Amino acid sequence: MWRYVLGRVWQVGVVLVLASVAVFLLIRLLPGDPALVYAGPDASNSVIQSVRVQMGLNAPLVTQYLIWAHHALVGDLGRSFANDYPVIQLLEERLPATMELAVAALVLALLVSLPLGILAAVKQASLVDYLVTGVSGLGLAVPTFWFGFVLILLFAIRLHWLPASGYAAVTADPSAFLGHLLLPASTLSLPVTCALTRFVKTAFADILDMDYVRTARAKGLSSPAILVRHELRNALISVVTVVGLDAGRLLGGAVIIESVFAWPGVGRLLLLAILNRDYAVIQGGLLMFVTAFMLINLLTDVSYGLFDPRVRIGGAPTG
Amino acid sequence: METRRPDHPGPAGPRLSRRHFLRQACVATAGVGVLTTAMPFVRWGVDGSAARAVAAMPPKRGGTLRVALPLDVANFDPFYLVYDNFFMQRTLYDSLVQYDEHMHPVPQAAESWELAKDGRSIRIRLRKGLLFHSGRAMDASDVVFSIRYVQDKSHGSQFTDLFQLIESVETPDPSTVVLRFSRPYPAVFDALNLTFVLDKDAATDLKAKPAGSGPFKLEQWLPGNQIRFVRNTRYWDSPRPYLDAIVQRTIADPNSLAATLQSGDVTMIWGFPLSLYAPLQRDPRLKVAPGLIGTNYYDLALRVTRPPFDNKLFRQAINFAIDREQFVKTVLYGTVPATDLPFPPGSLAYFPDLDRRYTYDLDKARALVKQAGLNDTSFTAISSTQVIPDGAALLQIVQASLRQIGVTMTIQNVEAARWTQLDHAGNFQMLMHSFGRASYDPATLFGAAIMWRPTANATGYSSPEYTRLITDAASTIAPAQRRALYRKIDELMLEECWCIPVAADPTPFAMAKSVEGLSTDRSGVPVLKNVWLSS
Repeated sequence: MWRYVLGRVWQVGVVLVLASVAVFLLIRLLPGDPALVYAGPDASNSVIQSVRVQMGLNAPLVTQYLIWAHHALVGDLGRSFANDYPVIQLLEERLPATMELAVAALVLALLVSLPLGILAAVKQASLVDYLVTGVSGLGLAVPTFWFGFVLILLFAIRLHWLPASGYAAVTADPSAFLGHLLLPASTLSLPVTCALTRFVKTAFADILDMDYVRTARAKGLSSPAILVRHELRNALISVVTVVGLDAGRLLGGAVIIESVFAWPGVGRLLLLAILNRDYAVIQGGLLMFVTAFMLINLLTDVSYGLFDPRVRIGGAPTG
Repeated sequence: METRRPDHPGPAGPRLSRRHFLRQACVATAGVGVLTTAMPFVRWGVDGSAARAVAAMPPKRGGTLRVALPLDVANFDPFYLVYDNFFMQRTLYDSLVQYDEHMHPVPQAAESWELAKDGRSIRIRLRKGLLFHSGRAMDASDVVFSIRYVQDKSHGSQFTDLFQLIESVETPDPSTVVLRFSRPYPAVFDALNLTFVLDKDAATDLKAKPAGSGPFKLEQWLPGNQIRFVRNTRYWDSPRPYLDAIVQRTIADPNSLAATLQSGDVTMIWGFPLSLYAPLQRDPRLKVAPGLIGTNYYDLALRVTRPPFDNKLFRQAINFAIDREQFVKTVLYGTVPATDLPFPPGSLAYFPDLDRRYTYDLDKARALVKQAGLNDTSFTAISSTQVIPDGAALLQIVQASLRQIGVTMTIQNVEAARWTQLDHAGNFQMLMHSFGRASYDPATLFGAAIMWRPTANATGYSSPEYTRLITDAASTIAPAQRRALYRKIDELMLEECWCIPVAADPTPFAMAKSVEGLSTDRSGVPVLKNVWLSS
């Protein structure tokens, strides 16, 4: 098991180095000049050149990369071209908001999709099944930003129950934090909840027909025991894979929701940085996202070991 | 961002800004437009008598103004004049003078001044007892520091050009500054209006920490989230400011911006798309205004060195084929008038008899295309909805008109940073563009705006006559003579049509009815020291 984990960690390291080169080069391949964006098109060439020198962009590419990589290794991701703010600090300030939103959305999705999916699987071809499948299909088809606006219209403008947008730190005011979190988290979780509900239902329905479930029933085990020990545990291997992928999607997919609800997360920060060609922020942010995806994948792989003894013993994950 | 622009800052580039995101402002220019029913260029969506009744009430002290804008502040450099920074600018800083709505300079950090008759120098007496937020008293050395700062091109100020004419800065005593210019400088007050006085001891990291003396102090900045300004209790212009605090939130999505105002979470928004203007106007709890009109303009820039725009007759045909009224009515919701000239009424370079020389006339356009021998011509127009959200609609209107006279126009939408690159390099046939600086002295527009300057013009236009006229007008002191020169310039631009103004580009405000006393400076930048809350 440990050998397996160490092997995966090593792979993560290699991928990160390659990703850092790719990120560095790709953003420089985009059309657009950070110095020109900063100074504006009316600026004279001498102003733009002065700004470019100030930004350190007149050095050869290899030198620029080595300087950046060297600093990144010791935790310094550079400074924003726009406001000279340390990138690491920008990410540190924004990451909690993105994580809070993603985790809340994931928890909501699991709380709703697991029971509903299992219920639909157990009561196959019943009204409940049709209702759950139908509503989750509809939820998948609805654009999330539209759903977000409907929630704002209903709960903020009409009922005045919740704020329309914004953020409050959990440490400063927990109840305000929850109030601000509820609408964006619900919106963000909608597609994940619906997809997961359908997936849990399918995964569970497959397992209900398995021989070992029939054997367990024949042995006279109670229904809850079969559910927890045999059905849930086996279904979870594939569910965990999907949840792992969805967690990544939640981090990346939060950009639009962050805009709609004015949630000060990393997605919005990166979007602006890309539009303004703020190289340092883009590089730092993307590297952080790559790292986060790699870690989530790593955790997903490792978690197979918890559910599937064959992984612990040394085989390949089967999920 | 978005930005993203009132006094409007003209867009000029792609920092994300205003209405949606991108909009850069390259503003740099012009007078004060007070946003009340009595003021020029501004219309409130409230009943006039009610507004006058409120105006008669004495301002009330206290309260917090909660504002939401589409973009966070870019930094705290007051000379970095993009839309993102406008809200912070006159909130945290004082300039030497500030134009009123008639473009008369009003004393601020400067108490009085004396312009030399030859226009080559100005002696400025500074206000005594003006304290920076650090508690230190302002003196002449701070003004010298500020001018040197904006002159330094590496700081990337959008209007560093206004300060390059200042050859020397002398400080005969701690309360006096004498500026000497390399040539007569009649537009000097444009520069003084934008000379924000920096605290030289505190201005060590202006990108992250302000160093001003303005009516409010920065209390907290949570990047991407919100900024909190608190009242400067030692402000020189007592009893202003009236508010205890201002909270500025960042809400990028325009619909969320409007929803947050309507839900009562904020009391004012600024820089929303005009498509939301009418719905907000209908809300009885709100008042809306297009802001100062005439700071920014939509224009079509034509590259005169490339076919088919190397033919003057074809450029004139395009000018006749623009249905400005339709654009103003359907896209700008009638908030601004259509125009052919790049200046608002009241400007030294605005002549009513020259405006609207090009009214929509497809017969004339067809005849000119034929005369140019360019029937069945096709060309590409570049647009960026990130930079100029409403620009695509204008191009579609022009495209439909041109189709009727046998000219095919292809519209290509590009990303903001790419748009800026094409704009700056003059790499286009037609470019959907927008410019600022229009409401200042005309010399400020012609001195640096990329589509108007006589050299390094992005359209490729240049002529010895144009250069001479611009140079003469920028250094002539007598107003009547200057006005005569600008008339000639206007006639030349209407004849040559290298850059075609279409209509003013407003950046609207919407707010709760309790918000009183809001005005903007000549750039359309909000002046918050006069704002108070009625209830």
